[in-house]
Amino acid sequence: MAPPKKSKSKKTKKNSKKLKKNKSSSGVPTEPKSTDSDWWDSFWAKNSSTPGVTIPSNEEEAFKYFFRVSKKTFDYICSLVREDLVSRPPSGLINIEGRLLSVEKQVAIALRRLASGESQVSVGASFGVGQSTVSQVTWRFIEALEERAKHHLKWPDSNRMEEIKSNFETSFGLPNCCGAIDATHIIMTLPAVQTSDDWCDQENNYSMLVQGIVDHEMRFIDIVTGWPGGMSVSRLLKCSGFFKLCEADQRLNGNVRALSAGVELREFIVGGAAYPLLPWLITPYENNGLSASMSTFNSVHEATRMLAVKAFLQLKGGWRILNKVMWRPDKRKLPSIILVCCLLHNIIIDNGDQLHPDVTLSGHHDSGYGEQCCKQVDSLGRTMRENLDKHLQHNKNKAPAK
Amino acid sequence: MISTANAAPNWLDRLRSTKGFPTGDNLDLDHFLRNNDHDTPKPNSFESNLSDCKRVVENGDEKEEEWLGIMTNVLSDLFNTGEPNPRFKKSCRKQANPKLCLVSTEDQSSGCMRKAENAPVEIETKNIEIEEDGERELVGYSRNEVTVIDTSCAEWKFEKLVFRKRNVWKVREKKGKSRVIGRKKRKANGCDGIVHAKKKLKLSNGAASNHVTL
Repeated sequence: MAPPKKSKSKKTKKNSKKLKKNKSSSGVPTEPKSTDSDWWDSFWAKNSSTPGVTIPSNEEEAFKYFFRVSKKTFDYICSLVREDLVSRPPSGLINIEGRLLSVEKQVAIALRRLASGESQVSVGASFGVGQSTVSQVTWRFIEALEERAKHHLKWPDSNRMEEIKSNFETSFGLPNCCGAIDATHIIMTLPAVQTSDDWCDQENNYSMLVQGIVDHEMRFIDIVTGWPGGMSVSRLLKCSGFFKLCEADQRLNGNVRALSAGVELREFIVGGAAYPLLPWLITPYENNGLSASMSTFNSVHEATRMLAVKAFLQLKGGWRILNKVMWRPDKRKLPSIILVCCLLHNIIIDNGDQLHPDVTLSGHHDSGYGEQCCKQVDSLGRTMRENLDKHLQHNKNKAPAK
Repeated sequence: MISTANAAPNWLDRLRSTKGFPTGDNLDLDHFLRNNDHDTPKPNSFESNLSDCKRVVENGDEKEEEWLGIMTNVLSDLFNTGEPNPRFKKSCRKQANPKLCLVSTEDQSSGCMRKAENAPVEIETKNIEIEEDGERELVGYSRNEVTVIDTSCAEWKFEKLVFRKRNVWKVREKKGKSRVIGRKKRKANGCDGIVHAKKKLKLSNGAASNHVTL
């Protein structure tokens, strides 16, 4: 083949240069600061009054109403994901005025979608972007945050664990308690070709399970999700890495607590009747023929366990996408959505924000589901529970003497 | 509805007569159905075969009317010629009572406590097992690929194969990257290291303890 004529190639180069120049002068601005930093003003102007909905008139409160986080925490979240969201702006992420979406606006869109659980169309309408933009932005945000915010969800180190245990004991009287466990269903619809009994749960909904262990501040310190809703809660536990670590004595293997009369108490968590009674997982006594001390134990146990229940109430209330029926979600992506909501839940706690009380769901986080009951009892677990029971009795008897 | 032009061209008449359909002014379908037996010869036509059958099978007027009713329904379905014979309602193609996915998102209880009354009791039997390896064929099991996020594992996100037959669940590595054929060796991720330590564990109902291990 003959080599291309020099003069021609020069011409093309020139032309392309010209094009580039034109593009940069009249094309999409890429400077993040100059693009869309006033997103809140336009969002607020557009959404400050919605018929039938009471939106706080105070802008700070309204911001939290829409995005669940304070402006300070919002900025922090933006800082976490900025590099991922700003470094690869696809041509699609352009708002109605033809400008690139700022990181702030992208984060706001994603948070609004997760917080409200409203459709992509209506979230898009509130920001002046299309449905596909909401879809793209939300998924990019999820991918970014699940990588960048991992440090907000981790099993506590031994120092932190001592702190947690001490707080549990102060609040509820249970020594060496490290957390509370619970699980909930994330309900979804599936296309007919994907329906399977495995995903069909006890209430005949298709669902995905999420198990969480929380500390005394209702912070998730361990989660598992992705397993099908057809599993029982106890089976979900047994599929979890946490279970395997505990059984291999690699978790909840910290300092043993010496109680009176030479009794030693290992580290443990509390869980409901749906869980097996194990040396490291203490469940309540069955509800028939309870002695007074057993009833006392059960009420203390329940108050402690309620932290996990409340954490899920906050999670599903704050991030309503989890409380709505997911419309044919990609089952490979849904675990990431759930994880990111848990990360956001923790970020709120870590940054000292407070969820508005109205946001938390009232009722139960797994509304419509009956409590499961696991009959499995481990003898060492039984002894642990008896020792805890005795300890509570002992403290109770000591208290009036003071 | 099939509309018949007032002034039917000759070619249409010819076509009709060759196919055994009546020609002329009375081209209404009901009229055709009622009269085709007597009016026109119907060589090789569907109706002629049908009427042959009729002659063999039926004797009374009532039966004849039934056939006519069925045919009217069939043809009205095909050509949308209007209301079918009400005597022979065809079954609806859609479910009369489709099952709805009814999910109550409204809160039904005042507190966040859940009633444990009538709670489904999970009876753990000996044959329930969750195994992480094994080479046997899993016949009769449903199979699902799941993406799991587990913060207790070194790699938070991984894929597993879930097999289920009623109460028996088996969890396996997704084939391809992690299995070595011939030996039960797998690349260890955060969780698998422990699984290996525990090997394949089954639920047991020992006399001394009811401890169920995996």
